[in-house]
Amino acid sequence: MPHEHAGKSKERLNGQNDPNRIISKKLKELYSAVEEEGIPDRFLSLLEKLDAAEKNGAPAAKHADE
Amino acid sequence: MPPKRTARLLRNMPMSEASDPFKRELLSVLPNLRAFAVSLCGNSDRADDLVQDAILKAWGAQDRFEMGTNIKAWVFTILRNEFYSQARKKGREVQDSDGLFTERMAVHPGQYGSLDLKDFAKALTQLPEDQREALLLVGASGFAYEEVAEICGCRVGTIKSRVSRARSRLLEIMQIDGEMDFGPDKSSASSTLRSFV
Repeated sequence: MPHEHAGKSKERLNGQNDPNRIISKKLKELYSAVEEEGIPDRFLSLLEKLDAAEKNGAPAAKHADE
Repeated sequence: MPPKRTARLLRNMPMSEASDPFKRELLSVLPNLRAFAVSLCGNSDRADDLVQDAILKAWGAQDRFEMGTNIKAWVFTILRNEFYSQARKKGREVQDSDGLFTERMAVHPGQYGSLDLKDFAKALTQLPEDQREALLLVGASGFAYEEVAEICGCRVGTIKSRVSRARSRLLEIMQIDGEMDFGPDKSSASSTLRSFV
């Protein structure tokens, strides 16, 4: 890794316009946009059903391909 | 688990739902898992089907999961394997070229240059899958390179090189599309890993 970068170069890399920094920020924004939607109901109720089935002694979802 | 996330999750559900430890763990990784799936597929319907399959598989295999170990890496591995096995089964291109993040992705005002989130997401879907997944897992899902190597079943060096190529390629795509001005020095695209994590 080129740690010899210093001075202006380093300053630029740490700056707002560093492409890598922008990519990192964009990736996180993208994730946040999805995460902010919360967990969709279909998944909450799916887990609830799986949990209930297990507690009732029914066979758990061993064959989950369906 | 970060307290913030726990709090957010608990707000989402009645307490009783979070009582089973495995279920609670699974729920805690779901938001990030789903964000990964959506970013990987570029299509939220397909992503949610994938997440559902991963939940079912994980639930069915929970006996093989050791509580207290890294459930996040475990579930991501399941989802990733599912992604590739479905792609193989369907015998089609993994990546959809239409309908990428179209209706559902709210267009956030571009905070950085003229590049908005939708354009970025679109650029992301133009990357080869192996590069895209490596970039997402390291850059957004918060995994260490070693963990990503384990999830993807390859060497750490391979992951590093994929992430590096992903970033360079992403910059190329965005520049070609003229979505964004990166400033004068474009050569730094290759020195990616240093400042990324």
